[in-house]
Amino acid sequence: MGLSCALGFGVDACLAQLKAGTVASRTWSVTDLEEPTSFPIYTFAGADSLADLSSAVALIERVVVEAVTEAGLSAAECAALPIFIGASAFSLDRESLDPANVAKPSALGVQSVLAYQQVAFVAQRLLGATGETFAFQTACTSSANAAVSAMRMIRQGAFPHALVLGVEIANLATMVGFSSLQLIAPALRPFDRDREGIVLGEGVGAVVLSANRGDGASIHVREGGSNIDSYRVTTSNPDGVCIAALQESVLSRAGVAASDIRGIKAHGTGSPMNDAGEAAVIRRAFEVPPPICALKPYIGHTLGACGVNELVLMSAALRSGLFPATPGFRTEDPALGVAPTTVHGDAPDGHYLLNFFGFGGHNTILLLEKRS
Amino acid sequence: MMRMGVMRVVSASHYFHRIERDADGAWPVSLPSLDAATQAVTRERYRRIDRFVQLALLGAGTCVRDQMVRPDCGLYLASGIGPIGSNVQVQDAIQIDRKAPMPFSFVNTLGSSAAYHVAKDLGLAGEAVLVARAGGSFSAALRCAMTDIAEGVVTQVLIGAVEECILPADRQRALLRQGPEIAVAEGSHWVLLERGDTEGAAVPASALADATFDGYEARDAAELVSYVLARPFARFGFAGGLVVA
Repeated sequence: MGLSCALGFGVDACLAQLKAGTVASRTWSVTDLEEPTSFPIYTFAGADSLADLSSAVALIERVVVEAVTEAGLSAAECAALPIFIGASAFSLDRESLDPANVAKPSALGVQSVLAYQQVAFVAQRLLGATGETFAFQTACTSSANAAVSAMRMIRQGAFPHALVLGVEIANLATMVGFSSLQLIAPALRPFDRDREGIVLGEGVGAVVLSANRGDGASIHVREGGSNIDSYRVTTSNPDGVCIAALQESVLSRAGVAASDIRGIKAHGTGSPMNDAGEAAVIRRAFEVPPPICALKPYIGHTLGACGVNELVLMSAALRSGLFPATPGFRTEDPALGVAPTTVHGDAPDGHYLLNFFGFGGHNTILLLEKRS
Repeated sequence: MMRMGVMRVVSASHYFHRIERDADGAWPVSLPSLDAATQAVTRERYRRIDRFVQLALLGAGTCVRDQMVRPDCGLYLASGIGPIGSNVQVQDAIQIDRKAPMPFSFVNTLGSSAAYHVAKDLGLAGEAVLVARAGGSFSAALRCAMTDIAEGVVTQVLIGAVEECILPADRQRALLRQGPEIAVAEGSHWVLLERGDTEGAAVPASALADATFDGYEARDAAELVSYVLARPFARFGFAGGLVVA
């Protein structure tokens, strides 16, 4: 696994900051619009300004190297790696969109404006890989869906390993776009009575998924799936029916009962409707809900990358025996009837659900199993 | 020729429009309206959708018209360029007009909006993804769909490739870092597939080659769907590649 985000550079550094309860959002002022404004945002750790795309290439390479090194892949295995990218948009960057810049190579050094597909080329060039590439764009479930597809293709014997990447680099269009939708809040407070919305973040995560080699790996992606809810394009259905159907289907395919779930990593955006839908599912599916946590208060909402970023962070926490607390939560919302953990707890062996929801009605759930 | 399990093609649709000079040698200043054609195959009268969504609705609606779509039908949308018109509109608003984008323009920059509208119009509630691969997005989506069939997650799949074009064509070429000799086109190419019960033989790739689609981002989809539609009485299928039963 590999991760760079607001918590730090490298999985171990990020986990150490998570354990310390670090919440490091900062303010980004936008002064070059007619109406100047400012937003809270979680930028890469230690960054005084938003990452430019040239440093994004270095970050992506660093995260990929961290992941393939930990996985112990040989050069031959790296060369054959298929690469699955998850990002929330096609994200045409401003330089690519300016006709005056067409003569220049694009910021990521590949002759294309398909910015997030370029990420696959960056990883391929680094690894000498020539395998298939897939770039998923299903809003905030993008990289979670990339992981689901990679898992299924591995299970079907298409290849023994796959590299799954989540990439979200902060940019003006995303910031002002979410602001125009009035979804940005001063602070992230998932499931809190006083929650007001999301705080965006940037982060790059990578995970190498491998066929079960019986080598004692402690975290397994047991199952996963997605569905689409056509309630509203930008809002989760607060009744949670579609998400509940997905959860049931994922658990059923894995042969796992809801009562066997040891914990839930909620999507937990802190937006009123999203938390309402997610809470409705938890109330319906669990007589006694297992511990619930949200990771966005640590790293911000990294949009299409949150699937892999939070998969990596959660796996690292579980592997170290820790079920994370949820910073920012203060007051229970009686209308939701569920509350996240406020202190770090133990993470016993067993199954954990990871929820991801996005614009366009996209819902994705991953089921992890921790084995000592 | 290798034998393999096949998917039955239930239906297919194909829309393709190349941007070309008129008889006087002038480039077009507008794209053909899709309003009436889209309205004819969709349930709702749409507002606030962009051309990318409209192309998706037109293609998907034409493909599944008069066909039974199963509740678990998976939706696999492919696009290499995505909603380029909305992306340009949002970037122009920010970079040139120095204004925040309109909310729906911003939402339309996400390819997931097209999947949402197609799913809503057709009543789909199962697996749904949008996949891109430079020069081979349809093939990538087909791969995902076939995997999900093999996994038993779905028994029917609706796969479409949508590529939007903006005018002037030179701007699209510039965004794609392509020279003036490259053809610019838009299209929407769809197939509805079900698991078949027979085996088939693979069609050689050379049988699909069609120079009409040279330089087009969704060439793989355009060639495959036009091939299928040209043989309405044959049974076709897919297993990694196109096969004929």
